[in-house]
Amino acid sequence: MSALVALIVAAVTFGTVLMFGTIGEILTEKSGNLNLGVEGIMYMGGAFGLAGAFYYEKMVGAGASNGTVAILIAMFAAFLAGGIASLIYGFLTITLRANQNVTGLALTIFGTGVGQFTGEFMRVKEGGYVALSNNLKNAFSRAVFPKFFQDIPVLGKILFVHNVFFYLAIILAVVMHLYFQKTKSGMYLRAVGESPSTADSAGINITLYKYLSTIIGGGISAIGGMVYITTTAGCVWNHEGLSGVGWLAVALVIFCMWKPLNAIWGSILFGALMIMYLRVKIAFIPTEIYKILPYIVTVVILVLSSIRNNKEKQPPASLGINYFREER
Amino acid sequence: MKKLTVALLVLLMTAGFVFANGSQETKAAAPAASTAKTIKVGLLCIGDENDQGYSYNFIQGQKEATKKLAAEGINAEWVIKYNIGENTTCTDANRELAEEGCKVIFNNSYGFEPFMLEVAGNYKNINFVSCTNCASRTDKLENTYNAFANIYEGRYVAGVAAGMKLNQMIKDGKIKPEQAVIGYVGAYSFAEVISGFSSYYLGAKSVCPSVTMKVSFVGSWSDATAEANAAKALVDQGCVMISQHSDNTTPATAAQAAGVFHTGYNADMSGVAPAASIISTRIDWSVYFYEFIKGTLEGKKLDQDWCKGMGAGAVVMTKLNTAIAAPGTEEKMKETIADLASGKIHVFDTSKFTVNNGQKLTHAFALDTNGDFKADSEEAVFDGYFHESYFQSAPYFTEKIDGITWLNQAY
Repeated sequence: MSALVALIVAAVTFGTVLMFGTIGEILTEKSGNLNLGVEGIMYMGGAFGLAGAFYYEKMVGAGASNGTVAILIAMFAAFLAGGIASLIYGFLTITLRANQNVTGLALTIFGTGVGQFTGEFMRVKEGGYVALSNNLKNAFSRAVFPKFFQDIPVLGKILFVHNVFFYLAIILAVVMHLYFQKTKSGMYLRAVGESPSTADSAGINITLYKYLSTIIGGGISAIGGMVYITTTAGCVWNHEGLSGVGWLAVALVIFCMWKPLNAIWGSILFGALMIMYLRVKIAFIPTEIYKILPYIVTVVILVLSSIRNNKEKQPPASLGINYFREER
Repeated sequence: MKKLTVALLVLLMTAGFVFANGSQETKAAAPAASTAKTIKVGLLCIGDENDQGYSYNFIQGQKEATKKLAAEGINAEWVIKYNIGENTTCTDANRELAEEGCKVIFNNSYGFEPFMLEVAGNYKNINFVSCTNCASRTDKLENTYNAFANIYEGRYVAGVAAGMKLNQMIKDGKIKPEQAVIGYVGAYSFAEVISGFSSYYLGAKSVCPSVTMKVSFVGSWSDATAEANAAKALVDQGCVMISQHSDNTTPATAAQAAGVFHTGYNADMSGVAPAASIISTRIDWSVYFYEFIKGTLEGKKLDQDWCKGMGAGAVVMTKLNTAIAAPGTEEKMKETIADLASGKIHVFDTSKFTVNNGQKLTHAFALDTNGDFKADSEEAVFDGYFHESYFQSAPYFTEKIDGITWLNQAY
């Protein structure tokens, strides 16, 4: 039992990174923009988020650094970096109407390069590891609920031991779900994603919705990169740990069928499958096959969900297609 | 329009000739100006400085060796290629360095050797070195070499430091003697890794008799997420001391986040995990680079399979993290190093460990002569201990010692 609890707790750590990436990308894709640059955005978020907290600490000194302030600065810096990268993507695809796939892939390469360059620039300037002090490391990864909650048998250990980012991601997912389903603005956004020409004739400002959702979605994904660096990578800049995470997020968006609430359990499930080979021993499966498990499960679920061919499980109809008003 | 195009092309070609001549001139000038004491050296790295681990360590060695050589008036010009994969890009890189005039080419990763060997036969007057591997003995080529260092000595001493810390934790009542479990994040289930964690275990056991070890293999020399997950999984299974044979700092930070201790490899990790990382061990490649480059320049006959230990400075310990190390660790480590050097104790002393549930190790082959990855020649157990890195520089200890549990395997 405790092994299962430990598995879930460990899965949540990596799952939180995926949650941010997935939720951000869902927002972007709901407006019809297929932003394949999530990988690059997460790299930039990781590098700039760490830079924000690192230079904050240098400015006030290691003794005086406040955990909450550092978290806020890191989140803000990551969001800004992701937002700017997505702004570039948005300008190219919405205003200039370049091909979305190509632009997204270019953004991946660009963002990865910028992120790694920034990280390395900091490392060379510091002459050593770019790391935060123990004080801040604890702030980023410690449990937010008081010990009393954590001591509740079983449920307490599963639900209340996680760091602040997990709960933030859940709140974000719920807010986004309510936004899509219950607000007029959310409905307009979904309309823009399904059929921009119809929405345009109803008087909805297509450009504004697309830009805002791309930028905000990109910013949220970038926060995922920052969460990776500050939790899994232990608040030390790592130049290759984030590789592949952005692509996982893109796959998870499809896995979750563009519903933010599904992102919660989908990310944790994926995180659990990734680490299962370390914790659950099955004698006759070679380790290598065990490690493929998360990807096999993803493919199986994708196949099953496409077989049903349900209208609610489809992507936004205009996903990946640029809107040309002149063609209406 | 056509005339304009033709005119532009002619201009381009003329410009090309001018600049091509220019570079050739400088090339012609260089040999005339250089003395016999300049040597061009190539280095192929599997990563780059960013990894703050394996390749970074090589680059530190390269810089240090350059200084030592310059102090003797030898000018080593390095051509370094980074992020070479263990595939055909390695063959191409070796060839490019050979064509550029390097007299020595160092290949820094285990997996480079097969690709290096494809090129070495065509450049008989260039010395090709494959670090950490072992084919130069059987490849029938005169110009290939291997090198490693007695890293098992460094691991043993790190194990002693770890054992001292475990003893302190037992004495303070933090853990019971049977809870002294070490978690080791390994890369692949090869001899190099097995030799590493076995010597680490024996070092810890020499001061803390109740210690046991669990090993988790991640299947890669460098995979930050997998290493962090492996370290966390080990801690969840009761390990209180983490060590690693992998390139990232994530096992150290994961150990610190979980409140346990850590010893590192390739680089001093106490900067990123000051509350957890006690000490690290690393190979100082400058010793070998200096000897080899100087030897090549002087035309000496070079050791085809080089391996030196702590005595020669090839294996070093990083600075002990005295804030968290147990009292007396520094002295105990000094004593251990001296005993190893004098031969008073041996790392793989067969009276200090058992295999197969209580049997003494009396026989183990060292070398694999037919390439099937099973050792089949040269008895390594004699004089009461297993002679590691004696018949060849690359480690070959693959015995499963009692007290060490493998949680998985990875090739």
